Amino acid sequence: MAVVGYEWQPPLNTGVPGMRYSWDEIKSLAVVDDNHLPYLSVPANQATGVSYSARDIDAFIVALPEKVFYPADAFDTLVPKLFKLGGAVTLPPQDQTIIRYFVTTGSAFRRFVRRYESEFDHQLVAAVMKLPFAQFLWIVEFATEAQWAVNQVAARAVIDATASLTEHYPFWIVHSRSEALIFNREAVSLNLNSGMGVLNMAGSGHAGFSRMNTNLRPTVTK
Amino acid sequence: MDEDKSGVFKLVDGLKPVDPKALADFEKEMTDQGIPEIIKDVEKRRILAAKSLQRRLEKPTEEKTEPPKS
Repeated sequence: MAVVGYEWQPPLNTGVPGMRYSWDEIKSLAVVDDNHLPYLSVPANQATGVSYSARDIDAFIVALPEKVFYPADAFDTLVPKLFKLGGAVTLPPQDQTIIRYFVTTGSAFRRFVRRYESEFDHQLVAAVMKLPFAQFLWIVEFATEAQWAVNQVAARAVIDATASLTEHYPFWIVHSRSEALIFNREAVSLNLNSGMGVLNMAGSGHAGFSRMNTNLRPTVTK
Repeated sequence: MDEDKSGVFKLVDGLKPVDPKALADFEKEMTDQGIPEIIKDVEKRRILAAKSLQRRLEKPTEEKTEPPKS
């Protein structure tokens, strides 16, 4: 079978502390299963009237471009560590954050930033346009429960998908509404004094950045 | 900094150096735990994936039961 889509569950206002991932917010998967009619809705959790749920699936195989060397597996471990960057960039409290990460291309990210240019500090927009991104990027979005409910995020990390697993700083950018850390990825090893800098940005005047919903170019009907 | 701008400072206007102390916690966390854990997790997943290739497809339980002898 092939998974071709998903449906978010209605936003929850749990008030319960604890970091969550975006897949915790998925209500169902849209699948094409040879044993059923096309576009079967498979609930995330077991429900009455359905033969199986997403919990019954052992593994998903996701085809990533061969240039993506930093694997998705690594993010489950890397992402919680990013909260230690709190001394340099303002992230929401870890136990109140919903994390979403996905792979995209440098050009898709630039297109997104240009489209929502008014949400970003002009210096950050300029940095996004000038940095020599690799073709593929991982994006990590940090949102509070309230922001998640309105498709917004508090902060974002842009990570080099061609980076090595052993890099301490595989980042291009880590930005919130008030600061942006910009990294030099042209050098093999990062010098903290000369290889990275911070943009202190004026208040963005909004409660959160728009979530980057479409990570790849949508299919266009011919 | 203006006179000897290089690398990312040359590329991005308004960039200021970061106090390395602000990143010390992150660097320590990555060195002591982050990178060893990441390498271990990725290797664990790779072994699981390799083992899964050797897994045989199982028939549903009801098909395993033998037909009654007549």
